[in-house]
Amino acid sequence: MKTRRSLVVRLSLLSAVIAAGLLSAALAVLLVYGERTVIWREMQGLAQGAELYAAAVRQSLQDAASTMETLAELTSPAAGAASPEARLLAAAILEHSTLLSHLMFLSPAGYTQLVLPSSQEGETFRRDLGYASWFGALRAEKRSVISDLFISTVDRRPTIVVAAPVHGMDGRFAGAWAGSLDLGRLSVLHQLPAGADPHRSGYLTDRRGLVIAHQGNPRYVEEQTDFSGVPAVKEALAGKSGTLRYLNPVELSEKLGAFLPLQIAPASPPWAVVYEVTARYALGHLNAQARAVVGLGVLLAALSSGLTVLSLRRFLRPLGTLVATAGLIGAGDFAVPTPLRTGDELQELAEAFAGMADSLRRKDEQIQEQITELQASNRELEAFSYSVSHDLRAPLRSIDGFSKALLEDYSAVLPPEGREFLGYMREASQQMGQLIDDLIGLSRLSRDEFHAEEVDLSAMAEKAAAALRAHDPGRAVQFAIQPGISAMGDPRLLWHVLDNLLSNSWKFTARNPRACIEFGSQASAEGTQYFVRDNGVGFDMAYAGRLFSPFQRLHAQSEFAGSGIGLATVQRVVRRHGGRVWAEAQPEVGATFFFTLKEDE
Amino acid sequence: MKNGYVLLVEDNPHDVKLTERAFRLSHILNELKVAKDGVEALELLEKEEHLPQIVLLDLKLPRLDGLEVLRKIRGQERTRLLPVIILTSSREEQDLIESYRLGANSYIRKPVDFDKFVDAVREMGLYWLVLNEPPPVA
Repeated sequence: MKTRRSLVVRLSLLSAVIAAGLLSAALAVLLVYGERTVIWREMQGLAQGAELYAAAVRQSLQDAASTMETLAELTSPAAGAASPEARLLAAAILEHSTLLSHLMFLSPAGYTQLVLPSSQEGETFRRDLGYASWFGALRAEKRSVISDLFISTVDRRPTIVVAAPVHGMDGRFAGAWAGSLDLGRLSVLHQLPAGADPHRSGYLTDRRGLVIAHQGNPRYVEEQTDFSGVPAVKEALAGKSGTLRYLNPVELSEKLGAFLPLQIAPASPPWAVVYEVTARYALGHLNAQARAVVGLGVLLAALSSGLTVLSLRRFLRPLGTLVATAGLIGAGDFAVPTPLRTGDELQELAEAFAGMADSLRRKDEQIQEQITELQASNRELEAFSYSVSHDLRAPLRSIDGFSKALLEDYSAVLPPEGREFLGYMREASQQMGQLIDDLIGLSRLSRDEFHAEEVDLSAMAEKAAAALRAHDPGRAVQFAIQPGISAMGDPRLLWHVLDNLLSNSWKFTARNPRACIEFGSQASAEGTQYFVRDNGVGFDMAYAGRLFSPFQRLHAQSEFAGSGIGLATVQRVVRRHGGRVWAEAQPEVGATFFFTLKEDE
Repeated sequence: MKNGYVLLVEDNPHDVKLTERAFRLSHILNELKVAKDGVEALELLEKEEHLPQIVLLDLKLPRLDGLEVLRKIRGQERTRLLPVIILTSSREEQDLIESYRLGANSYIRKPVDFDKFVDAVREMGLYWLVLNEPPPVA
């Protein structure tokens, strides 16, 4: 017996699905939590980077400013900016500065009086910087200033200028020293060792959002790239500091960034310092982690299914044993199964099962004993029947035979009454012989084997009717036999039914000159009912219960001959066919005998 | 009528008397030798110089029953072809089948009614002792 939907398969699938579901949920939680953690940690680092970068920038600018202020103080207005001392000092400063690319001395009107290092154009070329806003601020505020990004008139490259005013004895504005910053060098301020982390970079924009310095890509400086659209820059220029995840529209990539404003002059818009990292890069190892977790999940799911299969197999093996045992019991082998030692409910089941098998075995033994007893008693009964048929008849033969001998040989010495008595003796012994024969016949009906086949009851009834007519041709009886009635049953046994019922009708219609005997069938709730109906003497329904018992007679022997075995025979045969037999009658009107036969055979 | 004898194997003396009477009433003149059981019947068959013309064999007999007697008769060369008629009260199917299987030549049931018994014996005698050609004597 093969199960179509094995428990092993179903439970394994279920376990795999559950494992996969649980793992997916765990994975999702892990990933979300992991990403948050990673981002938070990354942001911490970025904020620190931004602070450091801002500090370095601030320091550099302050250094540049104080250098310019020192140079301005040491420049005697009388001697003029072009004095050899001032020139030497400026040259020395320029030589040691890591940040300044040019130094210029500007006249109070804003013309360059000296540019160091000297260009090929010579000193004769004067540049007018008086229009620049930072120069105006320098003149007005009498302190050092830092310019926004602009294109240097000296080398045509973007630069910013740190300038300090020079004042005369009278406190008059006498000009200014200005240092032009090498933005390339500013860019690499506080830069990490080359190649260590190309994805992280700090940058600086002026108050308009133009890049002043960029650790990662100095080209942005050269091209005066506008970073004002970068959300982190926007925030910083608005004076805020913090961290943000955003799309950098310049680079078209997602970034994690820390930003802060850099106040370069009181009451002026700040610059922006941003330290950012490409999000994909920062979270890259997280994706790797996710892949690892997914892989682990799949592995675990597979392992869990495998384990489930194995453990279920192991778990169900005892069930297999039980199934096999049940099969054996079903086949009649009641060997009590070896109890399972699983120590769980299965063991209980197996024990209960063993108990059941044991009780079944005992029941079976009892049944076998009873069958043996029954067979023995059947054999005894057969032997008894045999004896009856053989031995009981022998004395009857003697009684009859010797009565006859007396009548024949000693008739002369016997008075008429003696001859009459001897006649009764013969009659009685012959009747008893008939009774014995009928009784044996009745017992044989129950003993003989049963062979069911399709039986044409109509034809059988016709045959019985013909036999009755042939036996008593003097009578005019009308038979109405419905044609085409057939049933499943043993033809030899069913013959007894029809023969007895029709003979009865024949017998009990003897006094009716217009006798009519009918055989037919009709449908009913319990199936087909067959009936034999006559218009004979009938009987009182009060005695209907005794009709089918052997040797019960409702009429005097002198009235209607018979042993009273016929209807008992009918009932026995009908019962062997799983049906029942009953009668309806009215005295002097007639009787109808009904019977059914089990139909699914 | 031929004058061979008839062997009646019958344990019931009444039946023996009734059979003898039926023979007489049927005018069967053949000698009737009687064996009261199976063993006696076989001894008689062995002892007698001539075999009976027919054997009338009851089935239910003391010591050796009728079917055993029939088996032994058919098993011996001398009696192999001897006509054996089962004459019994039994009408059990198994007895009929077994008798014919063992080679009985005929099976007659003794009726209770003596008139019918006489009829049966008369017809049997007419057939087996007059009409029937017995097998050649060995």
